[in-house]
Amino acid sequence: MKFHQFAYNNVRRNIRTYSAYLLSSTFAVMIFFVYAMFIYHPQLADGSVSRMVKIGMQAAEYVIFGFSFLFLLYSVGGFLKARKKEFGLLAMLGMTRMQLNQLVFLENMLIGLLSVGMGVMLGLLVVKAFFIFAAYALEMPELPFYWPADALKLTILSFLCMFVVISLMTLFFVRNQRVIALLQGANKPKPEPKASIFLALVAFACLAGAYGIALTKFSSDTMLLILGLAIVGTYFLFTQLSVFVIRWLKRRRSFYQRGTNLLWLSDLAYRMKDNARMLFLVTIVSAVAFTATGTFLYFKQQGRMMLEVNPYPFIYVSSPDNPKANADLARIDRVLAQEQVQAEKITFPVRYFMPTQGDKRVAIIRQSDYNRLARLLDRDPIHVRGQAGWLLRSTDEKNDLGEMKRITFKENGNVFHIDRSTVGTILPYSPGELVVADTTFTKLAKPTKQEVFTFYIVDEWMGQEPKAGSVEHRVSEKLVSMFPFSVEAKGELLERATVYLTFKQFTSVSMFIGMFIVFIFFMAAGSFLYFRLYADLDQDSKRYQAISKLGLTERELARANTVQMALLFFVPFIVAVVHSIVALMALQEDLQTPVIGPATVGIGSFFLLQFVYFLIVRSSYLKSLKRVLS
Amino acid sequence: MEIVKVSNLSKTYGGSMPFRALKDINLSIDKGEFLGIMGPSGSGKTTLLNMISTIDHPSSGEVWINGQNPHQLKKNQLAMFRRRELGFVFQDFNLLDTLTLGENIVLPLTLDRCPVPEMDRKLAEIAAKLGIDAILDKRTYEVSGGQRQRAAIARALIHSPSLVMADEPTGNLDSKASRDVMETLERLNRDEEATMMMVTHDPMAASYCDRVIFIKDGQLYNEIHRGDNRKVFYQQIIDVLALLGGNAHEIPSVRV
Repeated sequence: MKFHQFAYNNVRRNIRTYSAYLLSSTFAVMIFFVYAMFIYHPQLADGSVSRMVKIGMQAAEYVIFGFSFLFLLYSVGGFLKARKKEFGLLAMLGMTRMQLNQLVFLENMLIGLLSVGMGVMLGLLVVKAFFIFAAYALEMPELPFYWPADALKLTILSFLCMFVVISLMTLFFVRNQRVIALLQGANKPKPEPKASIFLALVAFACLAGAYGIALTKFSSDTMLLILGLAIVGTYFLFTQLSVFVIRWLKRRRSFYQRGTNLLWLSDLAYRMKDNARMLFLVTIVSAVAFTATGTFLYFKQQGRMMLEVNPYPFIYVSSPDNPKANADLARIDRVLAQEQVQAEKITFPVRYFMPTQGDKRVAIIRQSDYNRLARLLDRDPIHVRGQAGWLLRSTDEKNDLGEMKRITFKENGNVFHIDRSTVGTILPYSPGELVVADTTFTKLAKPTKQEVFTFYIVDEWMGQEPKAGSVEHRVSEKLVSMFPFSVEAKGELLERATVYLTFKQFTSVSMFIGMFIVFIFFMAAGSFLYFRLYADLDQDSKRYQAISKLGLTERELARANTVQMALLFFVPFIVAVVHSIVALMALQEDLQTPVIGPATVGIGSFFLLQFVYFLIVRSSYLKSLKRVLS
Repeated sequence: MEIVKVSNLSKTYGGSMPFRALKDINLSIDKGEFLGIMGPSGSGKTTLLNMISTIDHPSSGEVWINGQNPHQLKKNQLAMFRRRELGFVFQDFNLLDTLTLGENIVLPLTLDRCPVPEMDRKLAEIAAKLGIDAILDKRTYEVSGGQRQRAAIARALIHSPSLVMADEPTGNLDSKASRDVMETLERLNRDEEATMMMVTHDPMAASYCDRVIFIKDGQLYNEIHRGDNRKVFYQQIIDVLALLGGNAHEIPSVRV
C-alpha cells in the first residue's frame, strides 16, 4: 500500500465520516456554478440589463465565493476535530509530521476534486429549474439552456484554488498539537471562555453604543462603526453572558438537579466555548439576512409609490414663454395618433409661491382647472371663494404644511385662510398645492415661477401598472427619445412607464440576487447548527447509552435534547431579530419610509422556515440517537 | 428471601447460524447475598448479566427481581424499574465527563426528581462510606481509575436498589485499586445488606463473594460457597477454573 493509496482508501472507506464535509463542499460548488451560469447567460449579456445591475450581479458572485470559503473552512475544522484520535494513533505508529501533513493535504484535495465534479454535475441538473424561477421572478422571457463554458471555467478554477488554500490551511489545524492531545481528541473539554465582569460590561457598552449611534446618528460614515461595535458586542454577549447565565442556573440547585435539567445544562456548560462561537456566527449571519430582506421588501414598495406620485401616462410641462410649446404638443399628438391611443388632454397654468413658514414651494391651481382634472381621476370637486384655499399635501411625513391654519406668501404678502387640508397632491412630484377660486388666482402677482401643465389621460391605463412591452411602454420610449432631457429646454416631458419599468427591473434583479444570497446565508446558518450537532452525535450517543443503562425513558431523552437544540436554534434567532429591528429602524429614519412592516413579514417567514428546520433536525437527530441506544 | 429468581433462562442469537449463548439457566439470589459469576471467555456470563439487568431480552425463560418480571414491563416502566430497583457498576465506569463526580453519583436521584436536601444528605452519607468525599467536585478525568470506580459504586448504591450488578468492576484497575474496590463492595454488602451480583474473571475479586457460580458453554457448571476463610475460597476458585480449562493452572497452588 503506497502512501497516496492510503490517503485514497482513507477517503473511500470512511465515506460516512467524510460525507458531511463532502456534501457541504458539493453544495457550495453547486450554488456558485448555478449562479455563474445565470450571470454569464447570453440573454443577459446582450445588454438588456443595465450596467449597474450587472456590477451588482458580479459583486454577488464574489460574496458567494467569499462566503463559501468561510463556510468550508468551518466545515473542515469540524471534520478534522472528529478525526483527531485517528491522527494521534497514526502519530503513535511513527508517522512523521510531514507525512501527516501530506495525508491531510492529499485527502482534502481528493475531496475537493470530488466535490467540484459532483457540484458541477448537480448544478447542470438543477440549473433549468433555477432559470425558470429566475425568469419568473425577473419577469423576463424564459432563459434557455446553453453550454456554460465561461461559468464552467470560472467555477472549476476558483474552487480548485480554494481547495488548495483550504488544504494548506488545514495543516495549521493539526500542527502544534501533542500526540496526547490528539489521542484524547474531543474527550477533553475545552476550557470555559474567560468570563469577567469587565468583558460583560464591554459587551453591554458595545451593544448600547451600536444601538444608540444607529438610532440617533445613522449615516454612511457611522455605518462601519455601528457594524464593528455590534459584532464585538454580540461576540462578548455570547461568550460572557452564556457563562454567567449557565453558572447562575447551576447554582440554583433545585432547578439544576431536577430531572433532565442536569443533563442538558451540564452539556451546554461543557461545550460552552464551541457553543458561544457558533451562536455568534449564526446570529451575525441571520441578522444580515433579516436586515437585507427588510431592505429589499422596502424597494418593492418604493416601486408602487412611484405610481402613486405620478399616475399620469404623459405630461408636458412648459414655461409660459416657451415658443415651441405648441409644436411640441403637436408632435406628441402625432405619436399618439400613430399608435391609435385615445387621450384626453387637459392644460392649465400653475403658479408657485414660497410660504413664510417652511421651505417647501407651494403650487397654486385654479379651482376650475382642478375640478376638470379631478373629474377624470374620480376625485371630489373643490369649491372655495375669496382668500380661502384648499391645501393638498404629499404623503411625506415630514411635511410641515399639515398643521397650518393660514398661509402667507413671501413674494406678495398674500394671506390665505386654509379651508381644508387633505393628503394627496394632484401634480406629480409636488410637496403641496393650494386650490383657489379662479378670480383670486388671476389677482395673484409676482410668483416665483410659472408653469403650464398639459396632462394626457388615457382612461384604460389609469390605475393600471404599466407592463413591459405594452403600448404605453412603446409610446413612452418613443416620446422619451423625442424629448431628450436638457437644461435649456423650456418644455419637458414627464412619463411614468419607462421610469417605473427601469426602476422595477433594477429592484427586481437586485431583489432576486439579494434574496438568493439571503437564502444561502440562511442555509449556511442552518448547516452550521447541523454540523455542530452531528459532530457531537458520537459523543452524545455514548453518553446517552451510559445514562440509559441507569434508566432513562425515551421521553426524558427527547426532552433533554429538545431543550438543548431549541436553545441553539432560537437564541441566535432572537438576538438577530433584535439586531435587525434596530438596523431597520435606523434605515427607516434615514429613508423616511416604513420598512419595519415589510420586514416583519420577512422575519416571520424566516421564523417558520427555521421552525420547520428545527423540527426536521430534531426528529432526525433523536432518531439517530435512539437507533444507537436500542 | 429471594430477591432474584431465574428459571429456565435461554438465549439464542439469531442469524443463519443460530447460537445458543445460554441454555436453561436456573438460579436465585437471596437478599443480602453477594453472588459471583465466573467462566471462560464466551461462556455466556455477560449474556446472563445482561438478561438479569434487563439490557437484553431472553429467548425463553423468566427473570423475577423483587417480585417483578422486568421483561414484561413497557419501555418507560422498564426505565423506571432500572432507575429504582437496579444499580450498575461497569468495567469502564460509565461516568459522564460533563458532570462532576458528585453530580454523577446523584444522577439516579436527579432523574427521579428527588428534593435537593435529601439528595445532599444521601450523597454525603455514601461518599463518606466510600472515602471519596474530598473529590466530589472533581471531574472524571481529574481522578484515578480506582476513584472513578468508587464513584460509580456510590452511584449504583445511592438509591438503595434491590440489586446491584457489577460487570467486571476490577477489569480496568490495578491490583491495589482492585482490592480497594472489592473490599468496598464487600463492606457495603455486609453493612447495607445490599444484594449484589458480579461477573468477573478475576479469582481475587471473586474470592470476596459469598458464593460463586461457574458457567461453561452457556450452562451452569459448578457452584461453590465461601467458608470463613477468603484465602481457602480463593484456592477453591483457582481449582475450579483449572478444571474449567482456563489458564488458572499456571498459578502455583498453595495449600493453607
